[in-house]
Amino acid sequence: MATILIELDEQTRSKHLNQMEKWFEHVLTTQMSLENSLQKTIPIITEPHIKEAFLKIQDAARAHSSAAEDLFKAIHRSADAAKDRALANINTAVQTGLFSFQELLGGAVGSWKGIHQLLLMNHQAMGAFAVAEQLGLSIGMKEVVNIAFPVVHEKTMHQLLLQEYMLEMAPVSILYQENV
Amino acid sequence: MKIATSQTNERIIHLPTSARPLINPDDVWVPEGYEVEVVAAGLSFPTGMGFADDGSLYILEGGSTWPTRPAMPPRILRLHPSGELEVFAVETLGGPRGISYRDGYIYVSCKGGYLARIVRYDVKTKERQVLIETIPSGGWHEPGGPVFSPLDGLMYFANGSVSQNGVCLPSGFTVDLAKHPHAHDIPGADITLTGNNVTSRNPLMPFPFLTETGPFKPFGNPAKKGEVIKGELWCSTGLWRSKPDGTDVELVAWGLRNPYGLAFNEDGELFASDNCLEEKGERAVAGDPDRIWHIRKAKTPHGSIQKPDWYGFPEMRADGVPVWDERCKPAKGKAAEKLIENPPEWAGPPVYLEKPHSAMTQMDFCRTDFFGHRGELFVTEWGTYAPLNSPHEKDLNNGFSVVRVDVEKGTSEVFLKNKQAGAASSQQSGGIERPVDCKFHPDGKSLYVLDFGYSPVTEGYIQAYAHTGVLWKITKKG
Repeated sequence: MATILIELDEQTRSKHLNQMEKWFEHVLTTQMSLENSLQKTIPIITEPHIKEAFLKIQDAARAHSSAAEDLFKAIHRSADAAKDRALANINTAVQTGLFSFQELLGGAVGSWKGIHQLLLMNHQAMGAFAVAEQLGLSIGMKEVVNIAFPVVHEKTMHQLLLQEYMLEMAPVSILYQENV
Repeated sequence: MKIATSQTNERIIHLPTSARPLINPDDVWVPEGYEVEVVAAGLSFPTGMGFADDGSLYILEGGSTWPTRPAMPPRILRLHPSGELEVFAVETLGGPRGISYRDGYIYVSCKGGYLARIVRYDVKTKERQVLIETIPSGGWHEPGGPVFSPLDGLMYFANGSVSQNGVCLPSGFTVDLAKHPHAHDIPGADITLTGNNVTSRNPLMPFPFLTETGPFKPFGNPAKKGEVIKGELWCSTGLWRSKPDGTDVELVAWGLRNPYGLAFNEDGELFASDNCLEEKGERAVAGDPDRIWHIRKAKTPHGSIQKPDWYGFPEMRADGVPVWDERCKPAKGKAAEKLIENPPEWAGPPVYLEKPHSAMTQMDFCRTDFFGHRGELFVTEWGTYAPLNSPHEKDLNNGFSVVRVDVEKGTSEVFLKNKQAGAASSQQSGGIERPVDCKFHPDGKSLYVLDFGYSPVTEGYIQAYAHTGVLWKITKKG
C-alpha cells in the first residue's frame, strides 16, 4: 500500500518556502527599521535610566537582526540585505514622518516622540518575527521556530518596557513641553 | 476541491518536516499477529475521523486547535476507497472535532467560538446544514461526538467545560480571556453556590490587583454565598440527544469535564471518555484519574429524562473523592475549595480509571471477531501535557498509546505504543506522537489510528506543528 503524503511534495514545499522567504525579507526590513530608530533615538534621550534600558534593547536588537538573517539560512535561502537595508531606510523615514505629524497634532514635543516611535517600530518587528514563528510551525520546521520564538519572547518584554517608558514620560512631553 | 498529494512506497518514510523527519512502523509496538502501516502523512492538526458505509474515510483537520495557533484550514478531507484524497469541505475557525456517517450524511461537531455547533453534509451534493448552534463553548474543552445509537437512532453529542478546573482563570491560554471574556460554565440543574471564590492575578491589568472569580461566572465575577444558578438545557459539560435533524433536544447528562470521545457498543450502551482535573493554577487538584463513563440514561426512552445524571465536574475526582479532600492537595498550585452547596447525586463511579493526564480522546468498539477483542473499547490516549499540567515526574510518559478497555471488568491492556515509552519525538524514533482518534474499518479487518502530530510541551509553553499528522492502519494478519 502506497502512503499518501499531503502537501509534502517538492512543488508545494517550494511554493510555501518561497512565500516564507518573502515574509522573512519583511522581518529583516522591520528589524532594520527598528535598529535605525534606536540609533536615532538613543543619543537624544538624556534620562539615564531610560538611556541605559534602550542601550540594552539595542544590544538585543543587533542579535535579533542576526536571527532574522538566520531565518533565511534555516530554509536554505539568503537575504537580499542591500534591498532590505534600502527598504528599511525608506520605511523608517516614512514612518518617522507619519508619526511626527501625528504627534505634532497631539501636541507632543521633544525626544519623547522617539520613545513613542520605538514602541510602534518594536511592535512591527515583534509581529513580523511572531508570524515567522507561525510559518515555521505551519510547515513543520523546528529550525525556524527555534530562531523566532526566543526573539518574540524577548521583544515582548521590550514592548512592555517601551510602553511603560512611553506612558511614564508622556506628561513631560505633552504637558511640560520638555525633552526626556 | 483538490489537495496537493504525492505517494511513496517506502516503508520507512523520510519527510522534509524537521519537526517529524521520520515515520517508521517498525518503531511501533502492537501485539503479535497484527501489522502496522502508514496510510497518510502530512495532516495538519487532525482531530477526528469517521468511516462511511462504503469505506470512505472522512478525516477532520481541526483548524485552530491545541494551542490555538497557528490555525490551518479547518478542512474535512475525504479519502475514497480508491485511495484518492480530496477536500470535502472547509469549516470555520475552531473547526471540526468529531464526525459520524449515517444514511447519506456526515454529521460533524465543530468547536466554534462562543457557541459550538453540529452540522451535517449530504455526502453526494456536499450541501451543508447547520443543525444546532446553541452549545455553550468558548473555553478550554471540546465537543464530543456526534454518534448514533444503534437502538433508538438518535444523535448523541456532548461538549466539555469552559473552565479548566471549575472557575474561569488565566491559567489556561491567556488569549482565551481576550477571545471569549464573557464565557463561563453553565450548570445542567439548579445549584446553590457556597460563595467560595478563587483569587488570581488578572493578566489583562497592568498592576497586580488580585481578582476574584466564582464558579459558573465569567473571569473577574465573584459568586455570593447562597446564590442560585439556574440549570439550563444548553449547559456546559453536557451530553444531549436529538433526532438526526437536530430537533427534540434532551439533556442526558452533565458534569462531564471533557467528553471528547463517545461510543456505543453493540448492545446500545453509551460510553464517554473524559480527562482529569489539572494539578496547576489557583484551583489545582491532584490525583484525578482519566476515565471512561457509562452514560446509563442513554437507554431511557427519548423525552423521558426528568433529571439528567451528574458526573462530578467541578467537584469530584473520578475516583469519588471530593476535590477539597486532603488527598487532592496539589504539589503545585492552590488547593480547591467546595463550590456547590447542594451538588446533585454523583452518577459515578466510572467503568474504567486511567492514569492522570493520559488524555483519553476518541474511541471505538470492536464489532468483529476477525480483528479480535470483540466488545472491547479501543481508546486513543493523546498523551500528557506534563510538566505543564502536572509537577510529577511519573506523569511524563502517560498516554501516547491506544488501549483496549474491557468496560465490564474495568481493566485495560495496551494495544499500540512506541517500543520506547513516550512520544516518538522524545526518543528520536519514527513511531507515534499523539493518537487522537481510532476507528475500525467497516470491513472489520483493520483499526485506523489518527495521530495529531508533533506537539512538544515544556514548563513554559505548548507548541503544535502542522503537516506532522499521520494516519496509521493496524491490520490483523491472516
